[in-house]
Amino acid sequence: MTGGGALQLLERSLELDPGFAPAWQAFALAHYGLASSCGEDATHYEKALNGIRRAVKLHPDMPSAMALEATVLAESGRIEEAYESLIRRKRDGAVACDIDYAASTVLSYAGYLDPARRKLDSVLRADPQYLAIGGWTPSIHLYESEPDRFLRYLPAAETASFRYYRGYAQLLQGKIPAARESLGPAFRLNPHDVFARLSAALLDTVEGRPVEALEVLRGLERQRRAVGSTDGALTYKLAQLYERAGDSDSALESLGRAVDQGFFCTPCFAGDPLWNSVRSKAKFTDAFRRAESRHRAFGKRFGFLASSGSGQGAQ
Amino acid sequence: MLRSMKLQLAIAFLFAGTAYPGGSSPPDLAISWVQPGTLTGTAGETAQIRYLIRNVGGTDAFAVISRIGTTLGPIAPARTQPGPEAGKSLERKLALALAVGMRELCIDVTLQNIAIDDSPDPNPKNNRACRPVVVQEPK
Repeated sequence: MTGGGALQLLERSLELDPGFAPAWQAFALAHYGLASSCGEDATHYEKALNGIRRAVKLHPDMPSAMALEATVLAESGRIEEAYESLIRRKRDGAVACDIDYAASTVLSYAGYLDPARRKLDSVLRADPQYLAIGGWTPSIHLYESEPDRFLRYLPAAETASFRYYRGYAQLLQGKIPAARESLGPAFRLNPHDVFARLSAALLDTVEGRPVEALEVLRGLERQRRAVGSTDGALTYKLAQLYERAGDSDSALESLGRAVDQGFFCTPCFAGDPLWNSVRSKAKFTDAFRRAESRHRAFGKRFGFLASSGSGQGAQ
Repeated sequence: MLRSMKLQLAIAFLFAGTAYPGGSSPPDLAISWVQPGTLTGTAGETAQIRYLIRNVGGTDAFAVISRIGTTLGPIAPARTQPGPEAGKSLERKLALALAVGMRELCIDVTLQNIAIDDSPDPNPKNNRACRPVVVQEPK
């Protein structure tokens, strides 16, 4: 069923019972998917937030809705607000997988990779199947440039996004044929998924077609601008792919935009060897400084020890 | 628990859909290329592509949305009304401007019903057709 068809059914469900919080949560998740994966316009994030707020109003202790709210806020660039919403709602020390996984995501955006990893570890100790059931990825390990660990925890799902992540990690491991095998079928799984096109561009770079890769990336970037997409982590992926395709100017433009959109993960930039050839360029140092400034402010506000690019954090 | 049961009943009602005349099956779309295989050309050329929308169900399809996607991005969807009658096919044409970076072409067809209570396509797995594209830069 397409996203639109699912939404129609959910709207009908809500007409029948507007007091059913899980239906509002599902409605929010469907809108989130349209903005996050399907490349549709950013108003779906607002609709997702509205759905979440209806769900939480009906059922104030609904961790999945709270976690989705934080994820939507993070992908909209509101990282501090996202983390604030999570700590406000989790006052005790008990593990709540949805909340801790969302916290791991938000902390990754902010560049606090050690605490982000600890959050994910606690989720997986409490529920080893959490990622597979929810369709989530252990992204923190990719941000740490730990592809072995990332692949160990990545669910064996067959979607465009999972194939993209698997292929990217396999490239980091130097397993080129395996990466080709992962990326090749991704586009046909769902041609309208943003990750299908990222996979196509990554495959082009692997197979020595940088011109084609750049055209795919430019097309995706135009579409994202047209619909107002503001997920800094996705913009960072574009930056990485531009650099892989040999267009450092576009890569640095995208890197700067990713920072401005709320992906200020300084240890990610410092630890990724992809950036080694451009570290001394003014656009890189400017972006890094802006990221570091927000990274430090985030740490000060929430009690984390800011890193100077090494990814060390307290708490 | 009561809420959960109510939602399940609502969903069951929605999926059950309306009864079709004479107990016939609902519209069931399938898509195929008229000339399958790799699409080749030069950037700047316009390729003429034909595809068939088949209705293998027992009821006429009200309308069909065709969504076209390439590795360079989506193309504006096309709506076909009326859709194919029960057991029949409609041939559609697509003029595709070829460009560097276009390596795959996919078309998804989606059944559009009159009412939300009408049954959705019972077999959406055959609603997508893809083919490789090879585009050369002009000399």
